[in-house]
Amino acid sequence: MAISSTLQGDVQIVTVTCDRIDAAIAIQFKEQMRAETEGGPPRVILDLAKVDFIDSSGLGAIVAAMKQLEPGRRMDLANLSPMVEKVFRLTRMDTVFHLFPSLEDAVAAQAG
Amino acid sequence: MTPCAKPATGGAPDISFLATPDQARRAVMHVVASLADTEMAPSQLGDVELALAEVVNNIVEHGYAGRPSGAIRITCEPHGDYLLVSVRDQGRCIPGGLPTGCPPDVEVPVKDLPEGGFGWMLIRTLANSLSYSREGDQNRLDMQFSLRDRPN
Repeated sequence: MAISSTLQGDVQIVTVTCDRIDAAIAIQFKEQMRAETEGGPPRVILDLAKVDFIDSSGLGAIVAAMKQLEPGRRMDLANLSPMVEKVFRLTRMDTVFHLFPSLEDAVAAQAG
Repeated sequence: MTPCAKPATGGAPDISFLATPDQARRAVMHVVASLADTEMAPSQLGDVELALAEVVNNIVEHGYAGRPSGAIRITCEPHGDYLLVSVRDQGRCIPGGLPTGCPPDVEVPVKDLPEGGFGWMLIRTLANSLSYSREGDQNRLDMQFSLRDRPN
């Protein structure tokens, strides 16, 4: 598995456990995200701390994972490495997702 | 066919592999690991890794689509202030030459958000220059990356 998840109150924290989300794993990643998040709480935080590389296929898989959430649910991202953040910035996907510098920041944002 | 890395003069990477997603991943990682001994900054290595991954993924997904998978060869060598990365394959040619790399619109409803189409924009943004040629049944894409520090 490329991901694992825990529930923290009304938030599902999905941790990516592989160090790359690229074309070789994009389809499995999307399907694992579907299985892991289906029927979960309204907010999902994807923790990317372990990820040091994504390509456009990996980005597409993250976008797909967000789009396949049921209506009314949202996905935020935390702990992007400089390389991963750059991919979001260059594709302007940083305007679509909320990017948080840490998991704590992401979790705290909900209370505010 | 397993990835076959030949030690080239000066340790410059030269690797040939079968055009599959798994071998493409391994080859790109191998090339970047080989470049880690150079004086390139981590952000520059990241740029090379991403652009190279996009080029190779395009060949796997489109160049060899609908035909038996073939080989891809990656070579890297310094050229003055630049690193020249060349990718060769025997897949179909790029119709109409190099795509302009116009990125898909992301200011759209969530259900319409693009899940692809960013590859050429990333390649064009990350490489300092690009050239493509078709020689016989072979495609060759050359990318140059500045070895000097540059703002990102």
